[in-house]
Amino acid sequence: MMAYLLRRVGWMFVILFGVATVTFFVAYMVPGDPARMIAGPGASAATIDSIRHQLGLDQPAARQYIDYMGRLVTGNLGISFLHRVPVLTAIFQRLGTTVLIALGGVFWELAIGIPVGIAAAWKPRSIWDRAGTAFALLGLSAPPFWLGLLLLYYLAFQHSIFPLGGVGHPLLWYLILPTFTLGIGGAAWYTRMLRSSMLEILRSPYMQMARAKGMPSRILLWRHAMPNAVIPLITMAGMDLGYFLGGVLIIEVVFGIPGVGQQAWQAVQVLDIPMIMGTVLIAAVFIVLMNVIVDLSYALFDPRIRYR
Amino acid sequence: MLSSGPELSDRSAVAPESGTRGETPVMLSRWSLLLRSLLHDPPALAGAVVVLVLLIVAVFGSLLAPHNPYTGFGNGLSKIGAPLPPGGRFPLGTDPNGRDVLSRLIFGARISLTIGVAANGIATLIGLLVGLVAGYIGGWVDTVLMRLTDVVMAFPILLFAIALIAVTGPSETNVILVIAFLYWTYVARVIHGMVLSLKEREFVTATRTLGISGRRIMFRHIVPHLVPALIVYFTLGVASTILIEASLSYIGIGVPVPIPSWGQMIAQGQDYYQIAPWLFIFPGIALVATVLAFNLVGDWLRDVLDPTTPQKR
Amino acid sequence: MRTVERGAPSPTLVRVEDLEVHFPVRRSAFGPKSGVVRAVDGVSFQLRAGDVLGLAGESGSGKTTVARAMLRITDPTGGRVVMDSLDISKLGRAELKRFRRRMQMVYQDPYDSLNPRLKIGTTLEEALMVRGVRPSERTNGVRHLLERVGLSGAYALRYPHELSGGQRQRVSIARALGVEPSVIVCDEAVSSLDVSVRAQILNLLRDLQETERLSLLFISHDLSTLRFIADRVAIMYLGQVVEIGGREDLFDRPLHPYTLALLAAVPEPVPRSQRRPVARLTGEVPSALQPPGGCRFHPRCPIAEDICREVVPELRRKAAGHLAACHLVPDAPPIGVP
Repeated sequence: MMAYLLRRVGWMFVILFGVATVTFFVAYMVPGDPARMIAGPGASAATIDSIRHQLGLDQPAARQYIDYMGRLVTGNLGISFLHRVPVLTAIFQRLGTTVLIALGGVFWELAIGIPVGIAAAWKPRSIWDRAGTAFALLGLSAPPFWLGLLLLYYLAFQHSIFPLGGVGHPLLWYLILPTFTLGIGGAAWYTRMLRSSMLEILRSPYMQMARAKGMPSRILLWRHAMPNAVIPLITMAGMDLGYFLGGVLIIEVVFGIPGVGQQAWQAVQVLDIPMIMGTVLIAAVFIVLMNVIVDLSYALFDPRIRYR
Repeated sequence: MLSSGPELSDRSAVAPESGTRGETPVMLSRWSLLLRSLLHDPPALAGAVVVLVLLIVAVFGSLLAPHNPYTGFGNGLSKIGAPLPPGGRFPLGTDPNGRDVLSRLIFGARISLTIGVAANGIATLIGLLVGLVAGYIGGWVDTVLMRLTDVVMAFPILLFAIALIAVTGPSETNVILVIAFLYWTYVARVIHGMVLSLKEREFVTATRTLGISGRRIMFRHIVPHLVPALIVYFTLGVASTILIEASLSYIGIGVPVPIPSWGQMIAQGQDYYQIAPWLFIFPGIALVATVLAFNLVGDWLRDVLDPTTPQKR
Repeated sequence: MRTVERGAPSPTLVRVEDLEVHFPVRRSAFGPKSGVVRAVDGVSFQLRAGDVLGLAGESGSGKTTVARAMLRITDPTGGRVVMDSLDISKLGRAELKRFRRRMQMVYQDPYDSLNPRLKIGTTLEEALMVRGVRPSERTNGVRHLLERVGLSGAYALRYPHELSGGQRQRVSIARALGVEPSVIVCDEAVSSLDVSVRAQILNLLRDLQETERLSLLFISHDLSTLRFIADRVAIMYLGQVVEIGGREDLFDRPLHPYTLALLAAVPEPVPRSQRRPVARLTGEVPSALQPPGGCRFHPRCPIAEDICREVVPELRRKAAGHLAACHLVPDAPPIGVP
């Protein structure tokens, strides 16, 4: 187990290194002159040069790369052009809201996906199954931003059940529509996965045997089929948490929520490179971390993996 | 039992076995089998029809659209300058610039489909090559390529696509390339797994022992076994890439403004939702219908071609 | 281990010397070795031009591994395989290509050894490609190959699933012939076929062996098949050769207790007039991870004695052209002693 852990964490650092390198290259190949952008219009050439020197932009690429990696290790993601504050600080300030949304998304994913998936698998080809499958297909096919708009239009505008975007008190109430929109796509996916894996389990020889021996179907469903099918889903949801932190951008823009995504979006408008790439980097790091955590927890539960 | 007819391809074969028990197995041509399966599956059939319609619209759009999608008509706005509701000269209404929504939808179909298919095609090609080479050659090549795949996959697609396009400038080509360079990893993973198991088949061992070059084995022996899965993933992939492009256009970082993209139309319509909700509803319906159609056809293809194709994440 | 042959010796094509193929057993991919499977543990024999050498044994005896090691499908971990005065077990990939044309294999599974998505003709063309036949002449070449194995040229347009098992093996044989090898290894090539078809393929192989002057290494667990086709037979047990000799010698005058037991297990349609001591095999084949000490067969041997438990028997000449590895079988007198 120890060996597996070390190996996995080792690869994690390799991947993170790769991620940081890619991020550097993207930031590096930006057209335009960051020094000029920071200096602002009308600045003298001398000012621009001094800023350029301060930022180390007049160094050769290799040197900039090493400096960049060095800064990363100390947690310095640069200064936002727009806000003039360290990128990392700005991100962490807004991280709370965004993480809440991501968690909410995972909640809805599981809260909807699991029951609908089970209902669909329980009676294949019944009305439940067809409705569940239809729901899943639609959920997969609808663009999240459009769905969000639709919900806002009908549930917040036409009928003022929910607030029309933004945040306020109580926070969770404001987050219901956004998290639901975020989670629907995943819910659709999980419905399908759960349905097919449960059907596979229910059809397996050992299930047929149990049924032939007279075990009531309900016990079969709840005690045997469901746990086996659901556990992988929970771990997948863990990985989704990582991915959501990136995908949350659209949701925040649609619903006007001041989170990390919205901040990144504002940065894109003005080409605030440090903020953009800093956000991308943080999101990637989260994804990698969540993947490692999920893999390790798999290894904890399934001894076969450790010996691979 | 179907009798052989002139329309059956030469792939159909009647194979009387020497010394058999008296049966004469007849195999139907692949195409007629496919067609029958499609006709028996209503959702897939509906999806296929929609895809066909989309292709026609995409190709013949300029002939089908009632108006020029770029022209803002003077009488396309109401007296106070608001967009017109659906009806009359503008079957689906007009947008804030007086442009015909239906025409824009039709041209938008071409955009979405072009970008979706092109991005997906490039992604599938890259993914196939990476997965194939990594899986077949193995060793350090495998390790390097798969770790590279891991690195690219670590980035959240939408966020990274936005960053990349922001950096390289929004244009149709850039959108296609950016999506392709992020999406290939899913194909590569799956192909890699399939190649690993194909590599162990006896005919591969036999061909290698014969002295045939690895390159020929990869492309003439292994790739044909990957084709069914590739077809399935390509179809399902178009659904995903269309969604990604729509999200990018909605955000404003997709195709540049005058070009009508459904995502962009939704973004525009968003500002007018109180007085002209059709502006954002119609493009959305178009998107859902399109993506749904490709998903349905992709699912059907998977059932027909190779039910053992692993689910892609 | 050298053998002394009876009759006029034809040139040795392939000499296998102390071949070893050991597979490490690990708990995880990068973990420490926890054991070694000695699939092939010191095997030696010679294959002469025009000979058919049978390699017999139960599953797990290592006979297939020997074949795969000879063809470098698996790499040997010890010993030599000598062909044309070169040890091909040590050759690099590039030099190995030349030897592909000298030695080929026909595989056990007729259903998977041909690519189901390629036409027969395409598969056979590949063999011609290796030989360097020009593209314009390949179609003819394919037709000739098919005819040599008893199939009409029309089969070139068919797919493997349109052929029966026996026909597929004919194609596999044609493919092996296509590169014009001197040696063909048949790895259980007829074991998956119906008995009636088996005879046809064996006859085909024998005819081809005579007309093309091939040497065959025929691997099979079925002794009656080997009796039909082999000139000499080697019996393997747990990675080692326990007996090797000419067909008549081995089948009529078996020496090693294991051989005796195997022969006794062969069903015969007509009861033998000669009575042979029936040695019933007890127990199961031990794990190759921890083979028994001394003579590997001793736990199941009905006549085992103390020495068998302690000392590993060598393969020694017990009669003219007939060797066995057993302490209890007297050696032949040295040559020249009256």
